[in-house]
Parts: sequence; structure tokens; C-alpha cells
Amino acid sequence: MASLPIEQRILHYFLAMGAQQNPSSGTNDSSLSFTLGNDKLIVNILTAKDIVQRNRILEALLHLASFRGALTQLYVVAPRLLGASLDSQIFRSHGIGLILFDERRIEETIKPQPFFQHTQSQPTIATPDPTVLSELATLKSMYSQMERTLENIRAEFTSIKRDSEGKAPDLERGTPGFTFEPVMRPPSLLVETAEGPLPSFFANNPWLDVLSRRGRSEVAPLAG
Amino acid sequence: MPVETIVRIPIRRIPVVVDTRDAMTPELTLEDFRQLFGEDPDPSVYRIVNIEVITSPDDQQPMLVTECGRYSRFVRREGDDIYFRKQIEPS
Repeated sequence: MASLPIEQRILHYFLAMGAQQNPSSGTNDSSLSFTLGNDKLIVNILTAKDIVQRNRILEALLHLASFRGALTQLYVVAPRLLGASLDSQIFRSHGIGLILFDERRIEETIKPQPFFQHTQSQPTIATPDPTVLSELATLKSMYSQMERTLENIRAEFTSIKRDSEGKAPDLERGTPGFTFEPVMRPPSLLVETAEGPLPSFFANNPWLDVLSRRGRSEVAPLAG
Repeated sequence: MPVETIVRIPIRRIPVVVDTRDAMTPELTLEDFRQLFGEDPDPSVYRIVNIEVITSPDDQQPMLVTECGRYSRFVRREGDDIYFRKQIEPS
């Protein structure tokens, strides 16, 4: 297996995962495309010779970036020897997967993450609902009517206040204006006793006699 | 099958000043150069090479970060750390 070129090994690696190979885009020979479920996988392979070609790495990453989408997972495949020079934190933060390989094994070091930033950051222009618009117009007219009513009430209150200030009685000089009378309870609810008035439910109540003797009979002797 | 764990080893960066005009000039670390000459190295004469080293998880000897890829136990580099797979020895 290790004698196969890395492109063939990566192909077998993804086919073993259940992916189906898509026809190559033709723009990049070291790029492979697969379909896995609903996701599209784009794999760009860096070889050992690419270590000394800085622009080749840049080209690989830019090529992958052009495929960004919500349902696209991007992979960079690099030799393990190059893995020590590639900071996987950068790959993780940008959602790009990293696969390292050597003669013996192929290992997925960083899993790719779906890219949602573009879909979330696009401002959506909502079309106004005509029902909501009509309700809004109704509320607006009701509000203006309430404002007018409130203005009328305020004007009437001001005029009443002005009139009352003009006719206000002079309590300090003893001018008769307001008379205060004590509030009397209805006589039917009161029962006149020696100690004073009691509520009506005391009148002709047989339980009063029983309750008044309570406690005295308990201390009385039971026999003799 | 042996039980494995992941160990994190921090990377140490050593900036070394190299004289591009005179190959016989001994290399100095950037800190030593500043202490000796009291200034930063002139870019037209000197070049600063960053050497990244770690201690090997096997024998605790210093090794270059670029050598990590030769080891099958190397997992990844993340930030200023290298992650290795390590077998847990049965007690």
C-alpha cells in the first residue's frame, strides 16, 4: 500500500470511509473531490517536495479557500515531516482539516468544520407582511386618538382646577364650606349592654351562657 | 494492545544571530548579541535564524521541532506545543 503514490492512497482512504469520488475540477492535479453523504469533500495534497516551495503551500490553501461553503469540508494532506512546521491551531480556527501521512499510515490530525460564517453574516432583507403593516397603521391611529383624548382631559382638568381655586372656601377664617360628621354604624348591628354596645350576633345567643361557664365546671369536684 | 496517552511538550525558540559576511564569526543568541553590542543586529549584515527545539519525550534530549515528523508517535503541532503519543507503561 505504501508503494502507491500518495494520491492513490488518499483515494483509498476516503473510499474506505464510504465517500464517492467526484470528477476532478482539472485546475489542480493534486486536488481530489469526494461526496460523503450530504457533504462535499475537497482534498488538497502537499508532497515532500512542496516543503521547500512556500508558494506551493500558499497556492494549496488559496485553492481550498475558493471552495468554501456550508456543505463543503476542506482537507489539506501533508507529509508527517511537514506536520511539525504546520501549526494545526490555524487549521482548526479556520475549519480546515489536516491529514498527515508517512510511509506507514495516514492519520486525520484535525477534523474539518463546516463553514457557516458567510451564511450567518449576510444581512437578510425581510419583506414586510401586509397584515402586520395594517395592524401597525391601526395601532398608530389608536395612539393618536388616545393622545387627543388625553389632551382634552388635561384641558378640562385645568379649567376645573382654575374654577375651584376661584371658589375655594377659606377654612382659616371660619367660612362655612365643608362640614365633617362622624361616621355612625347602623344601629341594628349593635346590642346595648352594661359594658357598652356589642355586635348583633350576641343577642339571644344560647352559646354565650355555655361559653361563659366554661372552665368553672372543670375545677368543680366530680363526686361528693 | 498497549494503552496510549497524548503528551504535550512546549517548544522553545532560540533566535540566533548569523553574520552573513563572515562565516567564521561565532553565532550568538539575540539576547547575547544585544548584551554584547548594546544594539539590535543590522539586517544588512546579520540574519536572525529562529531555532525551535523541544525535549524528546523518549530520552529527554533536545531535538529540533523539524525532526518531530520522523517519529511515528508525533501527532501534531498546535501553537507553541508539540503533541506526541506515548505508551503508558504497566506498573
